[in-house]
Amino acid sequence: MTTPTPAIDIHELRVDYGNFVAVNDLTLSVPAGEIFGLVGPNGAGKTSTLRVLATLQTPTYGSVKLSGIDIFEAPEEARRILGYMPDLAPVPSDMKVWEFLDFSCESFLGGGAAERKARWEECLEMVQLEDRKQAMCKSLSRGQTQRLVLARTLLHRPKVMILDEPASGMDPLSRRNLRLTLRELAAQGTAIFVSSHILSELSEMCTSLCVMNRGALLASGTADEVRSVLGRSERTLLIGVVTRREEAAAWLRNRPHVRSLECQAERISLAFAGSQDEQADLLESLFQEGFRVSVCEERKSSFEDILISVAEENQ
Amino acid sequence: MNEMASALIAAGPAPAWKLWRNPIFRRYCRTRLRPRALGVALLITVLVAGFAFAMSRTVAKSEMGRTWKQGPNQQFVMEYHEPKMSDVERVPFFFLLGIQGLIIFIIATGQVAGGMTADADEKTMDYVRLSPMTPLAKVLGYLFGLPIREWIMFAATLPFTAWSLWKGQVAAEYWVPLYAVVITAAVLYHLTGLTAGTVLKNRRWAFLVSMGGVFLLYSVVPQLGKFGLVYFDYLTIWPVITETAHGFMPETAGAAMKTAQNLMGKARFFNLDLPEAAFTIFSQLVWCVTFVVMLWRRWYRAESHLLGKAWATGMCVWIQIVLLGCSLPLVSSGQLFVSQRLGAMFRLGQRTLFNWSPSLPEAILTISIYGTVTLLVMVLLALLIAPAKETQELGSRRLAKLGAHRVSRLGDEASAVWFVAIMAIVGAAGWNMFAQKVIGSHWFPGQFLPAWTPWVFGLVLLTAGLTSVLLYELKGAKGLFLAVIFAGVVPILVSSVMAMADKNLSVASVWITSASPLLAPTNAVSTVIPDGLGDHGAIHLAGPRAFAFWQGMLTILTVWLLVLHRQERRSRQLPGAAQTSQVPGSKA
Repeated sequence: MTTPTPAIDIHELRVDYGNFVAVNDLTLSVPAGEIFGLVGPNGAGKTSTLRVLATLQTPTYGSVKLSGIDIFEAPEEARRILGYMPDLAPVPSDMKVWEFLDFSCESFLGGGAAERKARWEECLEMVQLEDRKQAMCKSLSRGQTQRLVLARTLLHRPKVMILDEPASGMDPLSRRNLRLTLRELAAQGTAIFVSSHILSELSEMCTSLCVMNRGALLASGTADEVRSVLGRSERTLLIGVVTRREEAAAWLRNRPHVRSLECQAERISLAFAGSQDEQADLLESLFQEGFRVSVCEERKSSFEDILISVAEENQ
Repeated sequence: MNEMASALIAAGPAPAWKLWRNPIFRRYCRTRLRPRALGVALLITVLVAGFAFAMSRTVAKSEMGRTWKQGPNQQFVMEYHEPKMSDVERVPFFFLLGIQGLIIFIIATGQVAGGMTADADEKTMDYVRLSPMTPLAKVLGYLFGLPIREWIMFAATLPFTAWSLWKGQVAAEYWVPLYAVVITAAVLYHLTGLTAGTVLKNRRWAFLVSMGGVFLLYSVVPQLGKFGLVYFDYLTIWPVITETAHGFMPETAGAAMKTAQNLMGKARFFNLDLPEAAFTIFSQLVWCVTFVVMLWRRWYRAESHLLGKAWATGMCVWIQIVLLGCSLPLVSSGQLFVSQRLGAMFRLGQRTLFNWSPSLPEAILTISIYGTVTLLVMVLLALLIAPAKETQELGSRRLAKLGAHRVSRLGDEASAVWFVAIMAIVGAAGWNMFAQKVIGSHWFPGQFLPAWTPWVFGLVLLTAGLTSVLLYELKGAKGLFLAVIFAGVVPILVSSVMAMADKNLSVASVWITSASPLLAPTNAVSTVIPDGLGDHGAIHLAGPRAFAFWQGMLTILTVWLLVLHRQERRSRQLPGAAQTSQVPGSKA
């Protein structure tokens, strides 16, 4: 059985600005139908990676293939299957919404006016901007501009979408719609490469993630896999003990892998660094000691925590 | 997905030659031809052109009918008779041509540069870059799309011109070549604007630079023609206007001008009997193609140099050929020399009545200007192809990764030193040929250039060219700029002040001014023709000595920079297999 060609295949990519290494030998691949999130603090090399993928920048070296097309050998061919939404989504100041979309549609697809109109109307509907089609692009709000550029990105039904901060400036409803649209596109086989600072949303939206720092890949995989690689091994357990709370706290404090413990009004909060099995053993022992447990909640390291710790390491 | 949308065939954008289907062209047809803005522009254009037409025609009709006759009492009496109407109708033509030039050369060029920079400024250029249109289609879309309103304004003046030509009975043989050149010149200027807009980041600067460029082209550059470099005239519409003007003038004036032109004679490119319009169009098209290549490279890869090394070297050779081809045929008639050209302006057609001959200092001036222009063109082309330090470092890292030995000599990361050396040799050969033809002509009997002249010219161009490019590659644009200011300009300024302040400082000022490589061509010519500037004692001796001393210093500096450059390149190189590498996807 042959391995399917990945939608995005990056091999030993390096981008330099003078002596500053923005991306350092990055290698990763994203299969079709995946929503892949790129996370990292400022200066991690995310935008440089995205600009190289979008054929807007030449790297120092490395190879990038989109659905098997080498983007440096055949950039025009790669652009046919590529949709790129830049950060801060610029729009031309002298065009109306429909003109901008029609121009983009013509640039990618050609075709007659009626066919183009049908296509851009369809995309405007997807981003819920039908009522603003006669407006000048510059008169749109920040969120509406983002949605317009997203519609532009969808026009030619790209196989690979590269989105740099797509949700910035959008209201919660628009964000939810964006999430649903991207999921629908992924279900149809489009590979989506997203960079965002809204990490909670990214973890909800993406099927896999990678974390970059100082141009290097720190971890990649599903959200849980990334957490387990980069998150501190300890996690917070919130245990509700109905009676003998002080006694239970004293007992727990002496258990292995318990790092710190705090006795709160209703619950005992403790940092636990053991494995899942050891966590199960701890809870079982707690029951066996006769403590009555009403609830036990596990809180893993959030992406914000991970990124903050990565950024702190940089400093 | 609805049916219409499904029916959209993803055949891709239209090919480059189908301009009417070019999305960028159509985009600007929409945005720049909105009814309100277009209406105002057309109203102003028609008003101005109509006023110029009506006014010039009316004044011509009343003035051309007047004649003064001496009456019986020795008094002059004005008589009026109906002028020939075809003569009257021809008068508005030149006013209309001026308005058309203003619209299509100045306003449109500024609009092209400004529009291009606006796209970069708003960051929407990335969308065009991302579209799968070919680079050529993108260039053509912007080239004809951005100035579309100005082309329409130009078209709005044409009915007045058509009336003037029709009623003035101007033959097609005059206006067809003129308008063909107007269009190629306009395209050339728009391409300069497009290039300025692509290279410069600031919208205002792009606008000013491109309009300034057109102004220079019509005011400063043609002055070089008066000093023997007549090729530069062909970048404007003047040669064709001069050739065809008599056909547009009222009959009497036109006949006078034609007679004067016949008396003046006209030497053509290498004495080939090419019509002015054909040679002008050809010259302008060569530059148009070069600008298209520059823009093509930038659209293909944003970081590319504007010209490839081979193309730039080819351009250097081409410039030498056309400079020589246009200048050498003028030597024997004396039209090459400034005194005759300026004189001809004031006593048109009478030159044969005077016993005119050029002076030797005039010849030295002409040869020096040729050398200086050759030097400036060479340095400009060299800087277009020289890699910045950062580019060289990226190339080295790529080599290290690939285990390669050296970059492709034609690649952007490769040093431009070899190509500058070739350009210097070509330039010195052309300069020497020019000098030999001028000094060896019948105007200067007994004068000759020493056998070592080509070596001196070669050394001047080689050292100045290599120093510029080595400084740029080693120290960057700032280093080169400081060197030009302190080594090139400051000595000239200081020596000028010294020479004016005290006559006793003249020798010192000669020594100081000779330090400037910008004056090296002039000093070289003065050295090889020592009799040319007359005998002024100590100054006469100081000139060649100062030139020899400073040229020696510059040669030592060049060798030292070459050694430094080689050391730096070697320090970046890693041992590896003897293979070449290029930027991913780059075209040499």
